[in-house]
Amino acid sequence: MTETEAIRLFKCLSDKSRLQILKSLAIEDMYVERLAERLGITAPTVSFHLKKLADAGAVTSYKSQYYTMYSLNKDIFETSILDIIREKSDEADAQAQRDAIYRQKVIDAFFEYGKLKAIPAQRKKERIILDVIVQEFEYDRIYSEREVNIIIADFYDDFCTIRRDMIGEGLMDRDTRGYWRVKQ
Amino acid sequence: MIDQKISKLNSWFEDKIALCGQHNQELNVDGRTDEAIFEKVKANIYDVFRTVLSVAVKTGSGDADKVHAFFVQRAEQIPVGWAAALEKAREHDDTVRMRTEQIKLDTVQEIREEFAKIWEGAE
Repeated sequence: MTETEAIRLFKCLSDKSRLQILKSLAIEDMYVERLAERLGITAPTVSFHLKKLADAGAVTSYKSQYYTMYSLNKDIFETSILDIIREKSDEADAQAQRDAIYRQKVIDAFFEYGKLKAIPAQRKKERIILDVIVQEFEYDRIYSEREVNIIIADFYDDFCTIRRDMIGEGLMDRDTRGYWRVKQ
Repeated sequence: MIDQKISKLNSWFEDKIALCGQHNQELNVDGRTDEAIFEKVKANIYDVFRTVLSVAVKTGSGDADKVHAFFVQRAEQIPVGWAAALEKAREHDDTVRMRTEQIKLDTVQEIREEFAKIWEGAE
């Protein structure tokens, strides 16, 4: 289900009459007049709601003798809300683009000629600069503390803080053998 | 006599508009938002024809026949577009639009009947 379809479905469901129609159709397939009688609303109003429900994919219809019968589209209701949320957003690309612009802005503000000017006070910004520095470390390689310090010192004199923060942010890890870059 | 009829019609319009407002609120509270909008549509039609009546009274300058002719003519003329819109919606199987246009036409029919009842003394 796309984001647009999900929005249309949720909007459609946020109406008591339509929910009542769905509840009735969950019991059995019904035609307009039968639904109108059950719910105490006029047949044209039921048709109006059914049209909205059909457009949202919540109900389907079929001909049975003289009647148009309506039934619940069970497939759509078996989709979990979590699945809908996890669906790739139409907005994802735009969001990624905005994130990239923001990231570059932070890098430009805190780095000058490849050197870090200061450690950002904001955690979000510091995370960006740590991401840049950690690129200097290879994966699957154990570094001694001295090697780590030398690499960081190329960016910033206070290598102890940067080293500690990279571990704190989960970008690097260490044990008795030394330090290594964590795969994200 | 004419004043009595005008006053009666105005009261009827006011009552209808108030009732629609009340239904609109109740339906909104009950989470039936689309049906609440239908009540608003109806209220708007009553309001339009209440205005038509006041214009008819002004134009007729106390002449009951002129007021009657003006109102009846407008009550025929104004819904022409709604009937056309309903037909177009029907052609495209647009049930949503059909419902709105039908409500407008049903309301104007009710107004015509009430006007006839009060004005022509069919009561």
